[in-house]
Amino acid sequence: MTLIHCMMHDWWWIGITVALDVAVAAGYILIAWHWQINQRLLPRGSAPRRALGNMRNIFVLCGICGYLFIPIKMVWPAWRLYDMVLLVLVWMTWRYAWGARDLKVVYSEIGRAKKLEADLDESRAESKRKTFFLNAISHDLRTPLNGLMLQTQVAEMALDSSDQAAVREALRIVASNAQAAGRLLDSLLEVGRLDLSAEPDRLEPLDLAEVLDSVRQRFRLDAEQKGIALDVAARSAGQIVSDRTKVERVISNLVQNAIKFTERGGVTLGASQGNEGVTIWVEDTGPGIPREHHDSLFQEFYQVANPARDRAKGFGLGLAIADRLARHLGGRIELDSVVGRGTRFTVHLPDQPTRYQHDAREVAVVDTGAHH
Amino acid sequence: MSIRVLIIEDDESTHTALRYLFRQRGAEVTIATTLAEARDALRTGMPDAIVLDLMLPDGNGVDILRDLRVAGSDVKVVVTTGMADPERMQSLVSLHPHAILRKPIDFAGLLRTIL
Repeated sequence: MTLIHCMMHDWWWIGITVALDVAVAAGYILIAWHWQINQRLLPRGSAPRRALGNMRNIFVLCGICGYLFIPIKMVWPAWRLYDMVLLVLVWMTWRYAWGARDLKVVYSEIGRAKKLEADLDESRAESKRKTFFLNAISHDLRTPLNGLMLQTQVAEMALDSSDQAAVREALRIVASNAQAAGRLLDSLLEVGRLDLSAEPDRLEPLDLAEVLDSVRQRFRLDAEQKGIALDVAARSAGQIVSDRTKVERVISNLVQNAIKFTERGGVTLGASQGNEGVTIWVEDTGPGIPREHHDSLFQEFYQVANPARDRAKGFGLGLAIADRLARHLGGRIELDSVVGRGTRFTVHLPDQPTRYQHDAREVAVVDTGAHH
Repeated sequence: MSIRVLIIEDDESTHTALRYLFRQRGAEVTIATTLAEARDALRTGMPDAIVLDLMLPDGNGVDILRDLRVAGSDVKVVVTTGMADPERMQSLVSLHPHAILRKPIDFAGLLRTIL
């Protein structure tokens, strides 16, 4: 008996069933067509090409078995024909399942391509950063050397015309340029030393109030000369175990930076004990740092408002050094700034540099390696 | 030597030296330390040669060179720069500067390229 005899009295539903079956079958055929086109792009005889070919066949047969045969069976009990097609479908399905082991390669290739793409982007960014770094070093070293070179020629010429005053002035500039080049080398060496972790940490208990006071003492005159205030706000600041020189260096670099860019108002230091360590903050009433610079600010040689790299404004290494030191000590620096209002740098430092043990071991390994 | 030289350079130790050295050779020297000053100087009269630094406080010296070339001027422009490899800066090379000198420059060498 055919199905249609049972459904005789429900023509509406027969119509809907047939329409849905045909729609699904059409979808199967579209998918199969898509694989048919794409498998041609793959190398002949390769696992993915075989897999796509198999999937195309499976989908065509599934479409025929599952959907086209339903309306056919309604009017014509074609079981034997149906079983023939089903047999081929079994063969195709198992062939695909068996070959699927080879597809592992395809999936890992797809993953690898994505990863390579990401690596390439990263290395492009890295190479851009290196070019910027090299150009900045080149410019910052060549500029004082250029002035130095030309001023020696001025001195020679002035000597010939016995112009004492000109000789003296030229020599003064030569000395000042040599010092500028020396300062850049010092800063570069400091960045390099941080990279190599050459200096071992000297851990000791630190009273932060005392550290802040000592930093304030060091910069008191600089602030006075600019006519701005330099205050320590929180005195019950807490204690940590860390490397005093490095902690002071981090705070000093932030304070120096704040004083450099603040023309009115002042700079305030403070610290407070938290659950997982201490936070030290350096707040200024300077011009503020626009949002788009926040991410790059800690990069070496990055300077917000110094396109000509005027060396009176420094080299752009201070914040980079502070950031690296803070991370070396197991902490981090955060930045909060409102343009026109001021900037607040917050240093988070752990009670004890937990990463220190790990770092020390790494350094020891590197050291042994170097001696052999 | 009676030529007019415009020196576009923001580093003081460099432009004071160049001014002294050029004046000693009898040249007439104008100094510009920014792009804006350089444009002003060029409006008042075209020099015989320009010594051009690239990194200036208000922009890149290449812009001056481009303005000159666009205006059809073929004034001698000697670019002096602290960049690591200026020859790879396509926007600069395509504007055909008279010479690109890498700092530190030697005055005798600079003079030879201008004369």
